Amino acid sequence: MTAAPQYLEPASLREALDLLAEGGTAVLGGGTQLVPALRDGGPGTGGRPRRLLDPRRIAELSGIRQDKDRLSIGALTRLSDLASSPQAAARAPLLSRAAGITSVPQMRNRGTLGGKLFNPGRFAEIAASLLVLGGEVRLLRAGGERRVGLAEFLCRPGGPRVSEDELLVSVDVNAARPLRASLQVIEPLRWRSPYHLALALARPAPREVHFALAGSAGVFGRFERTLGDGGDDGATGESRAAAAASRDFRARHPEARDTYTDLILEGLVRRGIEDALQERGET
Amino acid sequence: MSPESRVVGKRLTGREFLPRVRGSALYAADMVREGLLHAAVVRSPIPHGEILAIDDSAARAVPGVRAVFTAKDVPGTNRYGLIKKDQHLFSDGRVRFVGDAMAMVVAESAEAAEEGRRAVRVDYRALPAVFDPDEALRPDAPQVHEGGNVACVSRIERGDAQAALRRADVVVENTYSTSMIEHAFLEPHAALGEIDEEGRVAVHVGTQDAHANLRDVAALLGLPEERCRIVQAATGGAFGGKIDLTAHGFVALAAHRLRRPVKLVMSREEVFLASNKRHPMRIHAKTGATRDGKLAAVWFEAVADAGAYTSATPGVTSRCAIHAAGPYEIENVHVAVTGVYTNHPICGAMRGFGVGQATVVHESQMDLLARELGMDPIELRLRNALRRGSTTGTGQVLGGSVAIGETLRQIRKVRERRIQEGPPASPREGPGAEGAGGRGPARRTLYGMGVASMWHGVGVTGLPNPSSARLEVDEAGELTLFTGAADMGQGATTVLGQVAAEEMGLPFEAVRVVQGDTGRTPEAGISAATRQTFMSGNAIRLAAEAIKRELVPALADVLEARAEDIRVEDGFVAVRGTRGRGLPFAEAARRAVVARGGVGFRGEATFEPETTPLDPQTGRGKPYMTYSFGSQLVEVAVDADTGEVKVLRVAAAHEVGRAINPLLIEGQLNGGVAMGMGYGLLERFDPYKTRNFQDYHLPRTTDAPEVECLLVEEPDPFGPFGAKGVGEPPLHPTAPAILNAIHDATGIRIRSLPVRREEILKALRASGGAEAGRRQQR
Repeated sequence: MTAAPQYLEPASLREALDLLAEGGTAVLGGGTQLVPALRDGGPGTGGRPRRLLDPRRIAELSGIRQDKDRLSIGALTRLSDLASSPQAAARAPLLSRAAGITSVPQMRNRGTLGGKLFNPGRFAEIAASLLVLGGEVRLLRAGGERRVGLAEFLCRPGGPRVSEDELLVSVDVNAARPLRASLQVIEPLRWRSPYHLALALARPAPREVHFALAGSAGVFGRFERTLGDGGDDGATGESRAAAAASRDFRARHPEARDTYTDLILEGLVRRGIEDALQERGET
Repeated sequence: MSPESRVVGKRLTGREFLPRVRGSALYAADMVREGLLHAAVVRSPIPHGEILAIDDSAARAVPGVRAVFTAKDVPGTNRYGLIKKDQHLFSDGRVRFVGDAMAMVVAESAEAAEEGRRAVRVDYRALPAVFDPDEALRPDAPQVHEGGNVACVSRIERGDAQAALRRADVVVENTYSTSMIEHAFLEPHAALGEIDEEGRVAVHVGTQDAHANLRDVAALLGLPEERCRIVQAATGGAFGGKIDLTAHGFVALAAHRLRRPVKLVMSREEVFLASNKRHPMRIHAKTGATRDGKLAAVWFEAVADAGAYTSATPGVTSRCAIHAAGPYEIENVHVAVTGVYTNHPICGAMRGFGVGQATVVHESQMDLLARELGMDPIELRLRNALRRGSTTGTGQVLGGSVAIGETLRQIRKVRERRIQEGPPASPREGPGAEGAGGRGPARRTLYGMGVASMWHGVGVTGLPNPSSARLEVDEAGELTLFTGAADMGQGATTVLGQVAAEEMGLPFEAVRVVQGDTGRTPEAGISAATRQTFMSGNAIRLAAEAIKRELVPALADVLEARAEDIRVEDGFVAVRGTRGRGLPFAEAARRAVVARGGVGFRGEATFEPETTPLDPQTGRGKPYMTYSFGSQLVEVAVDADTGEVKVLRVAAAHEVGRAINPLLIEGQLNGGVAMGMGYGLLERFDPYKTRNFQDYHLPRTTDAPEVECLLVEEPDPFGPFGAKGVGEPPLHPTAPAILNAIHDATGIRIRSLPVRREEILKALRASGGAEAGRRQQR
């Protein structure tokens, strides 16, 4: 029978980075994705790690800290802790709400924010919220530190990647002030459904709309629009903004034309703006 | 013995339910035995091919592996099948779908068996495969079986449908398609085989028909049936998926050859890969009517994907054909339903057996016809509804109860009430609401109502389908019902126990039920086809008459009375015309047994419904003794921005003859509606893509609408206490009623299941319906 991976439980960040530098090691978060993959053989037995590194004893990787205009969330922070954090609720309520509704309670109680970043289509609420807020992820290796913008990290074709010797330490999101924002989720929980989709929308200024879209078909990115006035044709400002947002989306994602995402985008954005204007569903 | 019902009609919960809720029910996967071995099956990774060689040497070298079996190790006939014996326990040199079994590894642990399974090497020569049934019908298509790809054709011919359609004032013509469906029972297939205390090869398995399984297992092993035994383990749902052999043959062979207990537990992925599915169908239909709304003709031609082997396909196509015209009086009917082999997973028995596909079509057609005629859809149905004495498409004159009209009148009342009340607040619009898809407020919501009706023949189609039952009174004076009827969670144990208790004049609790064990119980036939309440209920009544012929005189002797004066009520044996003279049943029966030297009483009987086979060319015949009927009213909210369809409320009016247990019938209605919602809105099994429940979307409790259950009781002259079955019927009307409600809400007619939101959004965009927020006049 195939040998079980060696289990490593470093006590410090330094020890963890040294172990990762040796190669052949997978990092365990909450285990909600890696453990089933190991049990089921994973995508290929060739990729089976020799060692599993469990960083739970490393204090720096957990918890939420206010750092000037940013909220630094440790990669090992459980989604349920993020959802119930007063700090997160005050400074990044959109993300707090996303963490409270994504997936199922068992997954939220066990799953970590860092782990979920590697499957953004499945945790579309998290991905969309992070994209709208903006910020970066902090990665450490024995030789130094690397910071990658959230948009670059999450929207990378083929999904987020870190090198074998890197450890995701924290997710640092912009939180200078809480944004007026809303979150729309279609087919929550059915993350493999073609209809699973999350739209996060924020208004950093009365006439500015930022939104991000993620779902089972991928992370579609972050978009910005200015909310114009109603026109002579009777269209409302939000309808115009929604139509323009839809055009932005199609220009950047021509492959998505006539997919569900494309078809509903305009309506969903319009709804999000209306919610924001009428302070419905806002956080 | 008692003229009044004291147990029948009561909302009882039988003993079989608590163990399931508490987790103490013993499923085959939970069974352990000393020296237990574990099995794993090697399955084909290609859809069509010839096996050139199987090399099991590496598997045999895996520590813990005790044996590897292939076709050459099957001592009997390596063939089985529900109707045609064309399936193999292990492939006969050719594989016909991904999942076809080729070998089995048996080991000391499940892990070793799995490692051995992975170590078996198979060389193939891939053959061209065919996946589309229409393509499979072409002359140059790859042949799945020798003799061509047509598995069967079921026909119904009455009158001259083509001529009547030419004469009709209005004709609606459409093509529909339905999807392949997974049973999605909670308990994956599992079985334990062993040699029992009498030297028999015994298989404990979740099943719907232990006796039919016995015949197949005995044939595989080359043993007489009396040297084999099938015992129904606790069965966690079935929906038709536990009729064919699943794990039975594998563990029986291994236990027989190795003389040790062997267990096989399939993973959910293995069940998805290898188990039977519901037939997807493409159906072309024409329905004609006169200007005053009298149906003139139905023309219905369908092609069903049978997958790689026959299984229940002829039964599904024939039942589909019989029900294709709907529960309506129609003089001119032409139906042809063709089952076609492909290299897809096997399509077999599933709750509805082809009626669900037919109902989607005839009820969509009825709604479209009502619109063409400018008639109320309920009124159109009422005008054409079958009545007692009506003649069906097969030429059968209906002699049982026929209350389709009453079910329609019941939902018409509900509709009137709903219209007065106005649409319900969408759950998303109420206080504390959370949004699109349940999380965030929705506004452009289009509301609609839809109606659909159904009929469903009770029992197996046009074939002998007897049920036997036995009642015994033992030396303690206690009554036991022995029945082969399987209970998969639907409550057959309770219902049949109620029938026995009522017949014998005993409280429900006084009847012990032993069921589903070929070593102990008489054959009751399959627990499917909506038949056990009707068939086994009748058999139990006859068995009660049989046992009472001996028992009542013996009780009379005990009480020193005349037999004609003996009355048994509520478990007490009384003498008519006397005050207080009598004994508790158990005591009186015990004394009666003692009086005849300790020999208990026994009554066994068989009920055989009156049916006739169908003529293969015209479909003429009497396929069922009686039918169940029903109608449903569905209310939906369509989100015009997202295309989401939310089923808000369902009123389900079903004619049940006589409700033996209203609580369990309501359970069937709620379950059927949920399954119908999945069929209409969510479920689609994509062969070789859908691997598990991550890809296969079922309704969740949060999707479940409020269901108003309306039980229409018109006692059936042939049913036990007037009862007939309700197992499959509530599934049928839900999906077409949803389609009709979507049409009512949006003006969009969906003809392909499950509903795709893109289709709604595109059509709304094209029509401007999203902005208008229209609501149809009713």
